[in-house]
Amino acid sequence: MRLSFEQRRWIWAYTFLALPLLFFLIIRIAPTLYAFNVSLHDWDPLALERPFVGAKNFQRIWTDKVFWQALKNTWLYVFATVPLSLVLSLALAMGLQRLTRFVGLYRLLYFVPYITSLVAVSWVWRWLYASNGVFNELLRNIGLGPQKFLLSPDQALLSIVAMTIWQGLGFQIIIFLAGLEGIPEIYYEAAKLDGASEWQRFRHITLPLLNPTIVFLTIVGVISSLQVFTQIRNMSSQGQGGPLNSTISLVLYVYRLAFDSLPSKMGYASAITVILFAMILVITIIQLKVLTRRYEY
Amino acid sequence: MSEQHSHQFSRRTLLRRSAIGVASLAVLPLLAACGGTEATTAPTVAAGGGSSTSPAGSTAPSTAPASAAPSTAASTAPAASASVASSPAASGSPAAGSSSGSESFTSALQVKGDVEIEYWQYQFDSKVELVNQLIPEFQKANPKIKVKHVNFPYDDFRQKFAAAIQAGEGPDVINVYYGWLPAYVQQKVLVPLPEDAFKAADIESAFFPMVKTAAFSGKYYALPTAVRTLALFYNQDLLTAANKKVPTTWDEFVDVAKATTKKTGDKMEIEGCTYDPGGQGHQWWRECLNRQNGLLPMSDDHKKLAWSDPKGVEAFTWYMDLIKKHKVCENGFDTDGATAFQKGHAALHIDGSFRISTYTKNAPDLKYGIAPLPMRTAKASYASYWCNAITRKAKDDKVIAAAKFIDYLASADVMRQWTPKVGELPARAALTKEEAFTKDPKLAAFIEQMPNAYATFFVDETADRKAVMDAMDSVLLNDADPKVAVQEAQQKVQQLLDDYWASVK
Repeated sequence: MRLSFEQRRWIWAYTFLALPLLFFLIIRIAPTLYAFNVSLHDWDPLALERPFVGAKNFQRIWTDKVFWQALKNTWLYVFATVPLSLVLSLALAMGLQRLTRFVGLYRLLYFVPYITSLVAVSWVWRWLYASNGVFNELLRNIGLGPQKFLLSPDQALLSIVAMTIWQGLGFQIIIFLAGLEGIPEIYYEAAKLDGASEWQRFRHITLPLLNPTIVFLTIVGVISSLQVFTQIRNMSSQGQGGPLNSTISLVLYVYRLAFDSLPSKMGYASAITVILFAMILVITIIQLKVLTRRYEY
Repeated sequence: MSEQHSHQFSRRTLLRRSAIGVASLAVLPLLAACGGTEATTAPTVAAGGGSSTSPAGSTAPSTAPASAAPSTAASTAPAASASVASSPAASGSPAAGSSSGSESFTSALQVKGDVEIEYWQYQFDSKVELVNQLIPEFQKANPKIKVKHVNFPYDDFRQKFAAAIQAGEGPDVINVYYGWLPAYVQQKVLVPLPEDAFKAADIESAFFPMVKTAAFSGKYYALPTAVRTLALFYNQDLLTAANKKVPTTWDEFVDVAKATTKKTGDKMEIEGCTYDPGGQGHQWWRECLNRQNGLLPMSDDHKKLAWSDPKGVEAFTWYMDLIKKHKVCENGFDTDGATAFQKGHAALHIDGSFRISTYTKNAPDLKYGIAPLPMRTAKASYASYWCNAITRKAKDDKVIAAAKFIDYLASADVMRQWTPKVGELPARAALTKEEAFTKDPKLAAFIEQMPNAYATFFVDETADRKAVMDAMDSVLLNDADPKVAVQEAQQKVQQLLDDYWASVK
């Protein structure tokens, strides 16, 4: 039987699509569904028996103070990181766009932290934050007293947020630059002719046309903030999210329960990931609806 | 214009779609990570690696706790474990020749046919290299046995092991931290060493008493090649400059620390001593300061903690006074104590023998000495060890081969090679009488303390450490009452113990 050109094209397309699809099914989706199953059991990977406990793991969450602390911290990470880094990176991107010389160099400089291993960055910043580190040296030189930074329950979380913003800035700048490039110059020229001020042009041309970019960065930013882990693991003493659980995030708590504790509390950890999953799902849907519609025209 | 517009539109759609895509992609791996496979967000800090200067392995469980007695089940516990806790000195004077460890436990055991066993240990270069050299030796002596040596980074080690053993694969012999034994034994992941070959009495007469933490219900589940203790590292130059001798008591320790502390205004330049609760500080208080102050921190049957006893609170307060009252140290100075000492920024520092190799490599010019821990009314140090155990995967001939390999790794010959190459101390008491060890200026202090060194019984080492660290943090950062802080820590760890013993029944 001879296949038409069109038919052969379809066969090839689906063959190529099938591989990644299979990959996602096996590597991503199946374990996700499996985690739902695990959350309903008293699950220790090493034990011979894993009794079904129904909703017990979920009930336990209500009385677990560390969980609520981690939930609160996680939202603090989101609200401290996302808005500030969006504003900063948009400002920097607009600045960069106006440059005529060394544009490539500046882009590179801002992007370097992003491609550097987060672990390495975390340790360097841990040194900068040390009681006799560079930051305290600077503070002393300008006459301000030394700060405790990572060692203070009040400052530790913000110290990690500052590092996170700095580290992620490069990525957001690049995306914003792409968005800015996509806005036709002709709009600005027309607005100028009509006598629109710089602020008006920004407010009525740049911002609305950047909407999809902002939506994208917000969603990605919120998701990655909700999953914050590596920085805290590396910047808190013994990777436990201290001092006194002041920096612990949901994912770090999940990790501690599943992999640090002995015996492993995999079932309870999975129950928390299910909660986190639901949270991220709902928030992403809301953001897509709310943020995207506002500036549609 | 219209072209521009459609372009804009499609880009928007694309962005929106990719946002959804990224959203779901970002969520899924997270769940996958917790679904029993592997963590996508691999943690890079060793569980115990409080210090950037130490390779993963050395701080991790290396520093872990040490209690005197084994976690013998209730039935057999009293006699055996009590003796360890109260009279560790017994093994300090081992018989000369007989228990020197040259004789083997397994010479009577023979494998029936050719057999290959798999041996797992975590990635610690000096250990891996040495075992690679030892395996051919072992195979020469046991031609029917082949050993396959597999390594994983410390961070993944327990997870890999859990995944493999669950699938009926993985190691026949595994190198584990002694603090993991209670959980592994309870979960039936490990099987006892063949009892007829490894008699408890023989082991206890040849090895230091801390190996009793490897016995459960009177049966031994593992044997170490080497052990570690804590000792006092002192910076010779700083002590000389302050005209002070090495402190041997708590009071002298405070005195020397005060004399060596240097500040410019409020800025710490040189610490009198290090403050490192997450490193060795928690062990120092839990097992050393408490015992030195005349308190047995845990009952001999490992069921009840006594931390909140006035003596425990006193020892805790003494430790916290170093930073709060005497101000001879600073939280987070040089990020951690081991680093501060390495850079010559601290005069006194408590650490384990595994640190020597770090300093030899990273700070060859550092002039330092090592002395036994300063004491009060009694001597005490903390001990810990990695040991080799047989997993439930091994059957029949493999159990015998595994036993022979464990026996070989715990032989005096191997120990003599181990100490100079890895920096850990021989686990057989008789060996430490040999000149090579007693004359070594760096090792002598560690060895001297062995008879008074206790391996803490841990149900969950990480949680236990965190409870103590939190107590120290709450006193330092929130000005909590030390007594209340200790009570809270005790309550948390007691809960772990209660849960463990309830599940063992």
